[in-house]
Amino acid sequence: MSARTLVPPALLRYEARHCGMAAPALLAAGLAGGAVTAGSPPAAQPALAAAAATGLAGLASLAVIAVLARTRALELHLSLPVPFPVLLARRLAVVAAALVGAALALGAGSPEAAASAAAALCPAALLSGVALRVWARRHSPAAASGAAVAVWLGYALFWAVHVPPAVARPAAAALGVVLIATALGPRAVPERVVEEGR
Amino acid sequence: MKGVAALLAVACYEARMAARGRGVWIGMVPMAALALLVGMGRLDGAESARLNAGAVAEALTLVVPVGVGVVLADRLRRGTAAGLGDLLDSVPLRGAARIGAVLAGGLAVALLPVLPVTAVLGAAAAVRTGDAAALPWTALAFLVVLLPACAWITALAGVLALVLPAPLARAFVVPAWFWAVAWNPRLLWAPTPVGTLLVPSGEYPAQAWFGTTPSWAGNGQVGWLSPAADGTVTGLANLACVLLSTALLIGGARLIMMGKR
Repeated sequence: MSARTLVPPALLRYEARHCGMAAPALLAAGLAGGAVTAGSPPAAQPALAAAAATGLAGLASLAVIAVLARTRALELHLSLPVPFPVLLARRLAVVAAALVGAALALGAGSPEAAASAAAALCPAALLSGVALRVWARRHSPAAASGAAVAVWLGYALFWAVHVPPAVARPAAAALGVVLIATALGPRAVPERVVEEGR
Repeated sequence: MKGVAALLAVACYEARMAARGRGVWIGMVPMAALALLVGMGRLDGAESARLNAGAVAEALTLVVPVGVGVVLADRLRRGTAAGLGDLLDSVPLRGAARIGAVLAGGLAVALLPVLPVTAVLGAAAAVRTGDAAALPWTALAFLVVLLPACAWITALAGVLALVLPAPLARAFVVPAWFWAVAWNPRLLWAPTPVGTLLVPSGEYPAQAWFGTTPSWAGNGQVGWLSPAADGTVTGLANLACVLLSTALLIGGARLIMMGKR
């Protein structure tokens, strides 16, 4: 990333406005999940905390798709000096900040806050990576959401159940980082737009 | 007769549009892969072909409708775009019937990747049980267990996306489905249709025609609404309830769309 990726606060505020309600909604979901988990009977708490963490991860990927779907006038962005991947990275950073806040709020009530936050953040990286990658390829919110939800259920029903967390979470996070990095590479611009613009 | 032809024409047009856009069926491919994993996990060759078909369809009904609802959520919403409503009202099919046809066309395309998965699962059941009847049983289970559930969630997602922004509607579809078919009110109480005749999880039809043992049917929170799963009568009653609530959701979508114009 070059020097022009340094983000002044005014620009960050501008990009946050362009993200719409996705980031505040994510934060609110984290706060609500933490409050419900803390206020529920102790017998239900472990199951609820796990469901809330996985649920937040899925919500994060849908928030990413909501932000991506709001990047209109792609041809205009392509003509600006800021590379399109940098623009996407700035907006996704806003979502990521909201996600970290939500994950911390989720685990605030429980004794192992760090583990609870990791349970949400690691799958969130994977699911956001899947959503971003599919969107970069197809430029379709429906396809990206369908893929993210399928991977979400696969993670919750199979991967997280059969693989111990010490392996499952870092593996998901690593795969997610790879997916995000490749999606924000030179291929970040939806190929359909490039083809149409040629 | 003319009405049926118009209904089919609108459904075919919507299906072709959805297939051309490719987002709908490509978004369902990962879900079809997950369905294969879930279905294979439920196959055990020890039981009859009929029982295997029912158990597999019941397992698929837990996950596949989620993908269908998420992928198809914006199908009705795009019909409300500026000026498009007037154009669409010029087709010789009015009101709720057109909405039903629009959703049916999208649903057909969304289920395209699931069809080969169902065929593979039926073939696997046939090999495991050594009974070729597993193939037609699996096809029947797809029709009476999975398809009504998908129709219900498609209508629900369509209505949600009419009153909420599309991304929010997609986010609501997932918990809504698990609330409707898998919420455990004994772990954490909430009003839910789980276990009653209103549930779209296909447990009653699977028990009625495939002999599976339902895990929730008959244990709902409202006694008179949750009779023990007992053959064709409860199976048909549940199917009627699910299709009726789908029709009600479509009627609600019609009212919302009329109010928006």
